[in-house]
Amino acid sequence: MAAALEISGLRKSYKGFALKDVSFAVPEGSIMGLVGPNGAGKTTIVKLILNLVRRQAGAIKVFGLDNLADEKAVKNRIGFVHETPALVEDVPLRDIASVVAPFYPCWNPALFQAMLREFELPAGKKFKALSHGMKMKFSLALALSHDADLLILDEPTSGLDPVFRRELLDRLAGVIQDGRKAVLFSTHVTSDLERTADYVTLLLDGEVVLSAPRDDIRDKWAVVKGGPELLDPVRRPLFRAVRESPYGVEALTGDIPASRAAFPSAVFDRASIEDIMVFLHSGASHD
Amino acid sequence: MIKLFRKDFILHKKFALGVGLVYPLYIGYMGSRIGHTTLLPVLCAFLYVIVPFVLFGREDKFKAETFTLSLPVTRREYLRARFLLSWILMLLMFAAGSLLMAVVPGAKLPAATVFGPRMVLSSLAFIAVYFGLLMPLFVRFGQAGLLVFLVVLQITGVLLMVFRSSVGIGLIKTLFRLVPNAVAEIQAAFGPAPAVFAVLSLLALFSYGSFSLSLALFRRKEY
Repeated sequence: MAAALEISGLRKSYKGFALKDVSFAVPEGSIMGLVGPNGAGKTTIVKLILNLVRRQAGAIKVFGLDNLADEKAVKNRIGFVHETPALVEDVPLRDIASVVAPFYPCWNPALFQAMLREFELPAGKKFKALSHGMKMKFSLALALSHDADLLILDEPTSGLDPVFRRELLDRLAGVIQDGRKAVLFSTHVTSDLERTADYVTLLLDGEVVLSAPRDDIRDKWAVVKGGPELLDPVRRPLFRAVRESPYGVEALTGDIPASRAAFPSAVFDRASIEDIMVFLHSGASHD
Repeated sequence: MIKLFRKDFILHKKFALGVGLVYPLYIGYMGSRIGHTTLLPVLCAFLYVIVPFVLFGREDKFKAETFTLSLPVTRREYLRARFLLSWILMLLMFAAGSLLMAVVPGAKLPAATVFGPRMVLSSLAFIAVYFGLLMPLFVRFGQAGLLVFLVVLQITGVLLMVFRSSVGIGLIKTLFRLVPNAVAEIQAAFGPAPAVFAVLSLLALFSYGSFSLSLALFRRKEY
């Protein structure tokens, strides 16, 4: 399957933070969830794709086009929603849309109007009069109205009520139905990914620690619950992270068959994306 | 380019209309009170140059540049549009301001002087110099760049005042008269038409240098 977005060896350093050789791909016709705790580097990756910050190494290709050499063509195929939408505030929504529309040859005014109605956004209302959730909805309407082939959404569900949040996730699933489009969706709300994502990339401290189809993650990863025998140093390499509590020991494994064989009396629960994120994040400091 | 102009027009139309109506009146009246042929272009050019930065400062204030740069537009195109729009605005202000200066009753300089080649070229030269210095600062520091420029001007002024006794008032006058005198000398050496061409070429070259520097800074800017 061709890649809608392909990132390889991406590096970017700030004082106290660095993206380290980030590589992953979003196949066409899929939704990729980019997940990680705050400060993991999700927004930096999104900004690098849009050339809002400068990369120090690596390559970013969108439908085979380099994001710097073919910047306009690449941006033309991207619909973007920023985590904190910022536009000139004292202008009505209809004016903002009339500014954005000419930049995209495929702008669909009827679709945009339909979305304004659906999202209950009055076209004459000024941007500054919108709540954060409404601003997010307006940004989504802009991003979805020009038939973008790649939607990049940075924390799109923050500030949204649960009903709209569910609708948005369903809408994203609808976007990729033609098998050609793709969605990259950064979040730290892992339940959104469980519902929607086909692929998950987990970032911790600027590094990709896991990038795989969601179903593979579900099949391969488990939380093992047991007693102190889980701390046995000989069998310890089976686990990616171990956590002790007054009630016992919990461990995260990416090799369920081998772990079952090594600890037949332990309890195995399927690991959620949140479990994996929390274990690996805390494992980095406690392990 | 047109799309970017259109964007600025739609997003800032009420503000621009307000400034466009009131500001030339202010400049026209203020300019009509000045009877000094060197002081007039020095002061008024700065007032013309402020206009585009006030407009761009709105986008800076709302942090809306991130969104604009996520649209299908390169940084070069974005900056080029800003340079061109700035020059259009400054020339419109210059034309309106000069016209009002000449027609205000009791104006200290006659219309022939206000629209004379020396005054026009000197004004354009000061506009180009101020704008050429300000734009890279604005690109690098945003609205704070304007303050940096003003602070540097103030400090330079204070230093000149402090050292007036040691360097002599003649040097200060020479500094301020540098541009008008250069225009006059070029005019005297080559005649009016080649002088206009020479001055405009120099200004274009200076503006291109400012654009190149601004673009280099803009490409390094991160959002």
